[in-house]
Amino acid sequence: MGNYYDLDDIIADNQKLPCKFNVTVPGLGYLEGNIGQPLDANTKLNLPLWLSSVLAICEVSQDSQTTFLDLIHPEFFNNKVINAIRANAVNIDLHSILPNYYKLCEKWCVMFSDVELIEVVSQMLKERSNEINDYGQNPKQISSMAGNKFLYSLDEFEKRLYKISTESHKLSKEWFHNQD
Amino acid sequence: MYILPSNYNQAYNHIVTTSLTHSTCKLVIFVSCLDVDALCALRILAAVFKKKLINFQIVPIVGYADLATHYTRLDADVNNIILVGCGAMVDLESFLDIDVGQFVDATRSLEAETVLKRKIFVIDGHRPWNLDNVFGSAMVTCFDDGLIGDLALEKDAYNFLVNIDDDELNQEEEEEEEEEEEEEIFEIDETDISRKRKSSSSSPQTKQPKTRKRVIKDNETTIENYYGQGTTVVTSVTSQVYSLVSLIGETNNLDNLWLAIIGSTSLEHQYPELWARLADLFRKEVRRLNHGADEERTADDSRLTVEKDYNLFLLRHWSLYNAFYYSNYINSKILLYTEQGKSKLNKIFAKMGISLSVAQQLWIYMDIGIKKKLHNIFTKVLVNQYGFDSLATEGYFRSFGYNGSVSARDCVEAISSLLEHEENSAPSESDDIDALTAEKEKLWVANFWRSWDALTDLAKIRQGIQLALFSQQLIFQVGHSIIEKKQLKNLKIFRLVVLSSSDYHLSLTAKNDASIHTNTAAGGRKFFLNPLNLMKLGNWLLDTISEVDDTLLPLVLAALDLETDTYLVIGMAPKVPKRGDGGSAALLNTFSVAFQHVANTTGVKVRIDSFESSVIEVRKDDLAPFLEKLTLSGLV
Amino acid sequence: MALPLQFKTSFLPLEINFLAENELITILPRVSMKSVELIGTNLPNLNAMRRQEIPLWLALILKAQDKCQIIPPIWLNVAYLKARYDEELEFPNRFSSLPWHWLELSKMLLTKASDDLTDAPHLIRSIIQDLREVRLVKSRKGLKELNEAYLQLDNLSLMEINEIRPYVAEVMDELKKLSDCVKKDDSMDMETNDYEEDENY
Repeated sequence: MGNYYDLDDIIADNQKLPCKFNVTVPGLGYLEGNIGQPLDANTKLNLPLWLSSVLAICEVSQDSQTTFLDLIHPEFFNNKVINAIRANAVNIDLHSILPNYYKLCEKWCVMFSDVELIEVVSQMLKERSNEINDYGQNPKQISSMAGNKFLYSLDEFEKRLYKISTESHKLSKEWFHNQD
Repeated sequence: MYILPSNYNQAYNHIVTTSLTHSTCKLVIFVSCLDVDALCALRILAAVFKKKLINFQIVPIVGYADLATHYTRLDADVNNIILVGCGAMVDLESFLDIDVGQFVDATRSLEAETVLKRKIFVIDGHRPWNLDNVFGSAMVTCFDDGLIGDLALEKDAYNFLVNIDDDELNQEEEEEEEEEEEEEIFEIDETDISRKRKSSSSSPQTKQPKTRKRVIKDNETTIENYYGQGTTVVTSVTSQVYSLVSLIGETNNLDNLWLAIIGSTSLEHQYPELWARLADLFRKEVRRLNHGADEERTADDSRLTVEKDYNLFLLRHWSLYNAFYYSNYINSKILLYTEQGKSKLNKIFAKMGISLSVAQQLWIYMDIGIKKKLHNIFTKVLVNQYGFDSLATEGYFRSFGYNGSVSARDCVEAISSLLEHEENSAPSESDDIDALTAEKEKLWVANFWRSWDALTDLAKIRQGIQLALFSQQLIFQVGHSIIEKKQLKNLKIFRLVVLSSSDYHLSLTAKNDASIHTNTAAGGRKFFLNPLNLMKLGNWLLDTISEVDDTLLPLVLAALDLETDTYLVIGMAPKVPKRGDGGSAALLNTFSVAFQHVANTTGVKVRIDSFESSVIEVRKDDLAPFLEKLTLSGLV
Repeated sequence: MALPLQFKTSFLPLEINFLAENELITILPRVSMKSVELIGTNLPNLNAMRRQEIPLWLALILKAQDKCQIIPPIWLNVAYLKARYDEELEFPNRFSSLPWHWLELSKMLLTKASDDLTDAPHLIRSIIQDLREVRLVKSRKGLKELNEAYLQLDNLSLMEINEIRPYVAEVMDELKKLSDCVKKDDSMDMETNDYEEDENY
């Protein structure tokens, strides 16, 4: 939220989330495919986070209590995924679930405090980051079968972490072996 | 002027005191870029100056013309110039157009002695010295090897001729310059025919006493004879630099000794007596520096040892059989270019008890038992039965920790092939001779720096060795074909080989290492346009001839450059066949004098630029008349 | 500034090397020299054969000119380092105490002043390699305890810290962000609670 200029943040914001409209809005039919028609209440749509998060908080008018839409619990934070993470954090393919998992997790949890989710995700981060550091110290391992699979399963934040880790170990090693 | 070996450190101190500044560079070192000896010497010098925190600039140059251009571009700040591997045979003051008066330091000059702001130091092994440099110039200091003392006669003659009266000066001066300007450089092309020699004016004879005239004539003949005796190399530059460095106190440096050994070994092929003289000194030095070495090898080990070595080409880097096959020495002894020669080689192996399959394995994989017994086998069979006296000699080995060890001879081969080898032999677009030559020279300079790096890097030396293997095979092929096709013509006073374009379609394909981009069609063509390669071929032929034919005739080789339409011609002195004792008088190379003379008299278009004055370039059409004149000139 | 990521997150090993060169080291000068005033430090009077402490970079220059002999620091010998190594193996949860710049100093002395060391250079080199590897393994283990607030790894040298710094900083940042999300909500909940209370009241 505080990183207005951060590219990763902007991309993460663009992630579409399912939401349910609470009111009928004229003229927005094109979102559903009916151009010119009003958008009925209770339609489910996928809207990007930057739009839906605002609309979910904003009330329709000064007095009413209903917001424009409600955010539906997305599938990447549902119980199935959480159980999968709990089972085996290291091998889970995070990239295919959501490329910006951690970022989105943060944003979601700011709005809906989901303590359980945070716990699970923190634990996952710790385990995976250890694995990343291991691969960072032995860069040759990453080209093996297991290593490749792991590399492709990383989400954007983890990829950055991996890059940082390898760079710093590489520089250290180079300096250490340089005979100048 | 010249300084004795014991006084080298004076010159060094002078250089240090006048060049020490942090604001600009006051020391420039010019070095001949096709010379392994000069390269090693330069490396030692560079290390010494770096330690003293003196700024200096290294300029590799390809020829005298290059030297002149770079000299004119020098800053006025430059206080000291060192010439390594070049400059001994040229009158530097007149060649570089130096006005000595410009450099007189008026504030510090005393009445008797002028102090000069700029000095030139010459460290070179080429002889004969230009007497102007040695006796006549206050600005040029030559590093003597102890032999200038023998030139007393010439010194007197020189001084006499310099000091005679003004009246006679005009006449005498012209004649004097005639003698002394044997080594003048000519660049004759179509537009500009500039001959530096003044034609002797026919001024009327003055009334000179006959005796005086005779004395003058005598002196002139002495000088003429001195210059006319031919060129040779009498000492290695690296050994001179090494003695300089030991005089200043760097006595325990193994790297310097190693470089000195490499530099001196590079002269072994052509000048075996020189090497024999220096070998003693080096052996003593190695013994002195090696006292602390343990038996075991450690990772930091970098010791220098003296061990038995054989006169086989790069023995430890390919198979035993190949080392025998491609060695100059063996080849000349048993005439490998004939069929009987090849079968004789097989017989030799049989007599040694080494089967051909074993001999053709790579050295590193060969049976250890055989390796250990090799020396005994060699002595028994080769030396005693076949009379190969010079097969087993002493070699110097340097080990680099766990990375391996290399012998000095192998190093020399590696570095000289790095100097010779062209990286990308792409045909150039321009037609202009000057542009082509400029490109070629730039390439040589680039090769110089490549070899510079290789001097401390074992990996690069290994690359160079691969290149050397390739070039030796190439030389052999060409040499064989020359002898088979009887292209070696025996003209009464010298032998001649002309390499035309048809010789370059060789069937040898290079191993396609990433480091060797050799395209045989183009690579073969340009291979012999490098004087070093041509000289290697000449050496090979001379070795072969010396075993077959007893008449000692010098050899002239000519290689055609299709792009510039010129022939690169080199002349080499004959060789006495190698004997075990290694001693025989040096045969001097008289081609330098002869080439100059022929070039002057016939007016053919030639270009004499290289530091080895027996290397010249002749225009294609002028080759025949040139050679004709050469035979008729009687100077060879 | 447009610096590569690596420059922003940590020191370069070369920069650490530079910092290490400022350490004082004892030398035995072979010649006498007057003191020289330099920017930031002074080279004191050097008397031949009398020990003196000067910064390492000056010592290396003088050594290259053959003007002095460097006395190796007390920790740079096989016995001391071997004792440390045994200590490392003995206590798998702790790091043994080594000087702050041990890696950089040992590397510089091994390359430039190897003849001044008391033991053979290759032995020292191998023990240093062993030490470094053991400590690397231990630090990897220690990082498993990573949490968002607190990490303590005693007795690591600057170079070793620098190696893991970017990684650790990033992970801790992210963990903190995640946990912050939850905490913020707690505080927000508390606010709304207050509001409700106010209303009721």
